Amino acid sequence: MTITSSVSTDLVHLASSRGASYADARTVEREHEAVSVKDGAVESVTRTSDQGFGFRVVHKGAWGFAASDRTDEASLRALVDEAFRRAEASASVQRRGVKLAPIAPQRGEYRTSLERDPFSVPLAERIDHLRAVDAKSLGPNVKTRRSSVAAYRTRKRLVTSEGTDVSQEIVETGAGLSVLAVKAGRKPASRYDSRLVRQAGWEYVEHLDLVARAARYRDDAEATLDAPLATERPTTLVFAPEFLALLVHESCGHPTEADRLLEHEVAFAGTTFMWPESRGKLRYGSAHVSMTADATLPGGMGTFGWDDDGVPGMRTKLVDKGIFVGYLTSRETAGALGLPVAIGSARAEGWQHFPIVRMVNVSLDPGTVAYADLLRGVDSGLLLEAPASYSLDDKRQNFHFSTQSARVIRDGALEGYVRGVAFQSLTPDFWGRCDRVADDWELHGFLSCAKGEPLQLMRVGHGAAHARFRDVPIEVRE
Amino acid sequence: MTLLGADALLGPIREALRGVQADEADAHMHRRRAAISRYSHSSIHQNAVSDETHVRVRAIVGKAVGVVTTNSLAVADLRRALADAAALARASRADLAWPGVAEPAPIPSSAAFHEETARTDALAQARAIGAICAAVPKGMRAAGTSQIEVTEDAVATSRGVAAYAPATMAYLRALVQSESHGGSGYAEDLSMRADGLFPERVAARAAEKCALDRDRRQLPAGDYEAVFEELAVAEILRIVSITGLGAQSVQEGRSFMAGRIGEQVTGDAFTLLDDALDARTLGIPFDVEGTPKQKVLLVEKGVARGPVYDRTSAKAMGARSTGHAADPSRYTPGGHAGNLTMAGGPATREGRSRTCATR
Repeated sequence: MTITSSVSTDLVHLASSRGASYADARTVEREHEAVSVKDGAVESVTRTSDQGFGFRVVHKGAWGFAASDRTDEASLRALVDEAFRRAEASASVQRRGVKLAPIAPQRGEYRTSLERDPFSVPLAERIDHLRAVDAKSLGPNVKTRRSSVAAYRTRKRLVTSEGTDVSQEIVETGAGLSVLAVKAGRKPASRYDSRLVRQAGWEYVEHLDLVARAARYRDDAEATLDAPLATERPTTLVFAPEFLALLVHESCGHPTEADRLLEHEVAFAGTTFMWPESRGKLRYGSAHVSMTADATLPGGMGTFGWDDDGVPGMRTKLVDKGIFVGYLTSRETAGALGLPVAIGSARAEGWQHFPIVRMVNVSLDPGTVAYADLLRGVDSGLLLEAPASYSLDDKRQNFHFSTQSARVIRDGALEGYVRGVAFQSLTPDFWGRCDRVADDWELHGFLSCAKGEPLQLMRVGHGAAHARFRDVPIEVRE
Repeated sequence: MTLLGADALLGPIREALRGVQADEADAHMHRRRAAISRYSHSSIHQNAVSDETHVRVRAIVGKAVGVVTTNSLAVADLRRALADAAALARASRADLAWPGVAEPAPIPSSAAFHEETARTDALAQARAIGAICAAVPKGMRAAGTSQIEVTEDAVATSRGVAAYAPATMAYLRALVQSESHGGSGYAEDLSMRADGLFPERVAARAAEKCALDRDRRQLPAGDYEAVFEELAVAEILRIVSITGLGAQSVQEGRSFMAGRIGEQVTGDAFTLLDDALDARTLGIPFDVEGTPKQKVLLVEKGVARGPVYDRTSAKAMGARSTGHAADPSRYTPGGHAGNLTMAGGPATREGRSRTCATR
């Protein structure tokens, strides 16, 4: 059964008539196609689809949510009953009621702007493209090569008891690339990127120039295999945008999620060190560091018309010239914190998930200096191009990262490679060492930011430019 | 919750498989009903139930494989999914390493389902949370999760495999934090039965740890002897299962076992096996390809014995599948060891801690 807007409207009215102070109905259809090539052969060709319906109520001051992929009338009405039962159970163990920040009723449609629908690209064209990429990954010590392209389409509609009725169609296109080099007596070296994804059409894959990228990854892996170990010392680090995108994600995106400070995630994803009393005062980084959440950024994986509360996408400053100033909020968390408006960060992975606070596109604002000039200011240092393994504490205050590829910078120019580079830092100390951000800002996309129970894998975007950090102590491990 | 049952999961796909225009095909059906209540500050802040069914079909044409997933069990939708998978296969390239779909083989009966647990309702979950909140001492606060999950898995292949197994899982977690000294303590219970969870004991364990967690001090960097509690060991093993226990990671040289099978790779106190038929591991008796799961000795007294296999990695490495094909949307191909058991040793945890403390 196709769930029409009027069916959803009838169900939220039914919930209101049964005493719910708020209700919403969300229908979601998702499609995904992926092609993967490993070592020259097609590894998998996959098409995925699902559709279902999630129904949420606030009743007796508590949330209840029920979702199903069975969408006949009896199942949908049973779902409303189930949502009420869950809300009543919640109300039996509750000290504070849900208070939603206000939002005017929303109406409209949002669609991704794209040039070529990735689902329309013939499979043979996609395979041929990946085989060309694969051929460029070949190297004397390259043992495993993988490349992939993927397309995603999400259609969803949200109807609320407050009069909101919005529909969206979001299309995303991405690619993956990995090269593993192995040599007897040396530690294997890998170079990979699974964050080449954009809210766009097939034109984004063409823009990526995967063939040239494959050659670069091959060269990085081969060179790292034979590179000398780095030397432990405090040094100047220059980070590529690809690396900084993850640092922004982990050390700014997550700790500004407002549900963390309400301890909704304390027993799972963690909390924060950015508390309300430090807003406007906490020195998060140097004056070169400003960070912005922007759900309106063209092409961003965190871009949308409305979030899953029905709040329109907007732009909000999180860190302004080094000072912590803002949070990512849903209607519930904004209401709990006494904020006048939610900034539109309530997102659910699919129809079966309860919307929680998620990042949108959280980015390091660009600087004004050219990358070449930024490099010229380094007498001795390292360029870290892409993250490898990493870990973070539950407050996102303390972190440790290693790198896939580290290039030596001497007298402002790039030289050879070193291996084994890692660093540990505290978030404000790390960003406090930033003395320059370049103007070569670029956008990266993440497919699977993990948070919530059941685990929800969210698509988010992060923009960053090359940036320079002084006197960062590095560790070296074999 | 009412189970759909073997007939409802297998009947439609077997009908759809009869007319499939492909050399061979298989399908994995997974139904999951997850009821999750999350709490913090002694209040439930999220209370959600979702009921979803996923079907993953593979159609093989001339050794080329097409894969389609859907969340409909209607025969017409399954036929369409199989036809789409066959079309993808035709447009794809032959996979010369394709091992063929599974043949029927005896599958041990499953003991992973508990009917009373499947009937657990939202109020019962709230009562368990309420019991934790009430048991936490004054000056402390609790947060965590109650989860009741019912799953049904079924596999059918064009060669006649028809396997079905239901399972239940009950889980309760508490993180207790001190209002005064900044300490915290964590505890959880996991069982296939809701009556195997003990909220007051979970609260007491977490509160005891929280009370002990005070006066933290920074240790200088260095080498220390440390005792890892069971959950910490389990987390490390979980990562090892992702990075080094599947045959593909061995084949690609990424696993700690690569080139070292038969050699001592850890201390001799360490023995690790994967056994889905051990009820404590909450396993079901077959994998997503329909191969019966075998008990696999991975590391024996520190000696690497070998990885787990799915059908593709087994063919590539001249072995037989051990029944460890896993959902490819969650795990890398080649086999996943998801029902790990580490053998116990002679030491008691108190004795181990004392030994450490005196060094």
